Amino acid sequence: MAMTAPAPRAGPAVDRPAVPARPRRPPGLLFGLAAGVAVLLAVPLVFLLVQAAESGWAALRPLLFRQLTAQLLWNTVRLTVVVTLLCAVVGTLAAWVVERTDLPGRRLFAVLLVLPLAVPDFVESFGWVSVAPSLRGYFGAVLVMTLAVYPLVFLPVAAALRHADPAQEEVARSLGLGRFRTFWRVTLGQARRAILGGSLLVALVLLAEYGAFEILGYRTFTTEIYTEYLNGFDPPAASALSLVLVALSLCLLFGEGASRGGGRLDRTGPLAARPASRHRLGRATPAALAAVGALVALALGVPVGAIVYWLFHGQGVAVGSSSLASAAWHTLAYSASAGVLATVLALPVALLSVRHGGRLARLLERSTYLVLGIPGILIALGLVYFSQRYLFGVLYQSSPLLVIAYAVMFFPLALVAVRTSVAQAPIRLEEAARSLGTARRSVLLRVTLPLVAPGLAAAFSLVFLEAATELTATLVLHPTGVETLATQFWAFQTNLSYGQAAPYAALIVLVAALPSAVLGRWFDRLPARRPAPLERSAAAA
Amino acid sequence: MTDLVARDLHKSYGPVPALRGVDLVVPAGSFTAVLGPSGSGKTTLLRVIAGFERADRGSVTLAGVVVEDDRHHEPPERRRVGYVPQEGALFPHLSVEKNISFGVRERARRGRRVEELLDMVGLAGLGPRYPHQLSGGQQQRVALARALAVSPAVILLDEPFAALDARLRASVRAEVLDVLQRAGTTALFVTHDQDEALSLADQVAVLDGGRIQQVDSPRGLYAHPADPTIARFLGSANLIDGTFARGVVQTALGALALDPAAAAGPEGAHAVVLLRPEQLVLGPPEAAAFAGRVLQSEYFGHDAIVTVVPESPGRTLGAETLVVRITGGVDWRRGIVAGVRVVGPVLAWPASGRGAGHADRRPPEG
Repeated sequence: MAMTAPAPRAGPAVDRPAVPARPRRPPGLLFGLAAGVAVLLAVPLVFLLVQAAESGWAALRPLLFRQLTAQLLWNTVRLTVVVTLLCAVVGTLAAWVVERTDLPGRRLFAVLLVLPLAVPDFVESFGWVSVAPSLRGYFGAVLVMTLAVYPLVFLPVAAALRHADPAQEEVARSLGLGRFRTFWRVTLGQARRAILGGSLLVALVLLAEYGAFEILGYRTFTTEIYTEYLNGFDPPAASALSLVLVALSLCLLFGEGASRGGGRLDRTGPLAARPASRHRLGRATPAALAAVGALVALALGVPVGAIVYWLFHGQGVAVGSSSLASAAWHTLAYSASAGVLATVLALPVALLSVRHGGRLARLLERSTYLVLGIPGILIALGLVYFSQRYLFGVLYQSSPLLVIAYAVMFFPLALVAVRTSVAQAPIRLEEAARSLGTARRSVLLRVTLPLVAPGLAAAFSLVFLEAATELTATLVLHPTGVETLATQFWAFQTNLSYGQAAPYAALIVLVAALPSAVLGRWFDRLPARRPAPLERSAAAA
Repeated sequence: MTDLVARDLHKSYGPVPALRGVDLVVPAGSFTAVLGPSGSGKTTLLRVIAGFERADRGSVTLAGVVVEDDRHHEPPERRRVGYVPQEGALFPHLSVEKNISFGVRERARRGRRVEELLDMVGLAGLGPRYPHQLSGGQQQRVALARALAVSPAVILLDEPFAALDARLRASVRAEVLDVLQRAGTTALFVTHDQDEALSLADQVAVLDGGRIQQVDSPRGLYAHPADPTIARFLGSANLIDGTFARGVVQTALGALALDPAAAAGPEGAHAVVLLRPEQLVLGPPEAAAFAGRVLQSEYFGHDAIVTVVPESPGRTLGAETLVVRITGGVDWRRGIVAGVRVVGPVLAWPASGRGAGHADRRPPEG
């Protein structure tokens, strides 16, 4: 379900750049590789446009301006707007309560509030519908999706509040702002970029979601495109729907970039060691506890409870353990391959942008983020048509194509992590190593790799997590006869065989929780591995 | 005999020239400072010598071996140059011991060598720590030990103290100097801080605009800067107008004896005259040719800096204020009128030369 863990903070800016930033001319090979990656990522979008152009405006126009489009647009937009707003409010408040108040058990809650990320949206939705079958339509969709995706706001906002400079709030108070106005004007200001970024992810997830809405019987562009695909394809009709969907997504992506505004929201001075002081909840403590507890119970308790219930109270049909094992194996193999592929693809782009900079390199890097705005189903369909058109269907419904689709879809996640890790190994460390008499290859092994490895592992884990919990593209692209955990779950759940679906759901959640743990450790270790800027550690000593 | 010779080094980044013919000789065992404002090409010079950048033209000779010229570019790992980058650049994933022994090939020697060096830089016992557990000064010393571990022919330090806060800087400087002297290693460091260059180095090369403008001992450089710009750059300087006469220079402060080393101009020619604040003394206005009103007085305990504006608009001074360093106990308060006298011979340059006019009014950097 989830799109991402929060982008790790780039770390405090080093006070003085070691070497004045002059663009170093990138080696041709590196540039070529990065450009190749950018082209690969552009394939689905380009294909979408090619297909639309081939259908022609005359064929598209009636399809674009028909009742169905309007209906879907209304459905999609009202859901996206309301759920995004709800997530922004719920996620921000929860983050504030956990990070800035003396809520009892806040450490435990900090973990529990993030955990719904490990429950894919379609499992969340399955959990709710299986215990409350009447939960359908718009209100069901709003409830379930809010519970499923609010962590995408919670995580980055919590991080922003944790790292924000407490002195800013104190200054505001001393300038005569009350508690509430301080929260509104300063605290929210500190978290503004995190809230916007998280909300963008929420909205993009909502536009791309298929499984949860299918279960809830709610029609959006994505569910409609999938239905069209199942019913044998009508290219102009699919094209028209896809164009609207991609237009919505890209508008969001660019809109967020524009609304970010100027100014830096970081601390202005060096990082103070002082943590923010916490607000006393006082008599509001029981109410805050109840609210946070309810959120955890609804978002995490219901789906996990439902899975456990169906595991033990299923229709008593014995689950073929061999098919469970083989589905788990396929999920592992596909997700791991996608993790490796995406990480490898991200390396040249990250190296180019971190080490060499320059306008062209930046443009190249930015272009790859466009993928975020293209829902998975369109990437999958784009690759399907591409393979049928130009590769004579060779790759269609083959394992490599599925892995490529995953790698393309989740490339931006890999890039964020790889970029951070490449920045962990600044070129001056390599230079220091070389001046100590170490040859280039040996420097790679002894300095660069050890520094970059944790970040590469994080990139791998992020992509692995997303691929293992992916449903839509997997349904389109999985090879005939090969089932993954998600597709097998989907098959059982479609037949309302909840008892048989439950073990698959349980395994998906477990598989998703594992990389989350790896990621958590990586983020914890980050500060220790950062070369400490001199001034700061001197002050601390 | 190890020394470093750079000849006619040129290096450009695209259209921007960083080095425009640098010539520099670093004698064996010396501690040489390259002093220049930011953007003068200091770091580029170090990087070319270390082998991280290829020079466009010119040569570098290390210990008698040519490591860089038109045909030849020895890779950094084969140059035996110890490089200490600005912030130390310790490997964050390795302990202090592993950092120091990084370049030591012989496994057997590693342990002892690390012990020796930790002792030398005064960090005995800190071997198992990690870089982030050290203070800034400690990190800098580990970086130095790491560079010394491979017994380099020359050590290059890139603004080694710039990232330290002022309080720490003085002590780390002294420690580093001490370590380098005990190791007997030839060292070259770049800095934009003239106090640092003058107090640490036994030879200072002034780099500006991609060229070495002057090389001398710290004393020689301070006493006999080659032109007004360098004079300004090396500490506080009053530059006033004058006219060359026989053996003296006529100024608003009277006829001043010329330093024998000064390049005197033809009689009657305009001159730029250098008056260091410590060459000036204040006294009663009647006793001096020049009187000024005290504008500002900064008291430092051991001495004080008094800024004076000309009181009598007679002869033009050529400067808006005079800065005087006084050691006496007299409290020259704002508004007092004082006479300003010059002690000893002065330096002067023909006014048309480099740095004349407004160029020498540029505030010193750093």
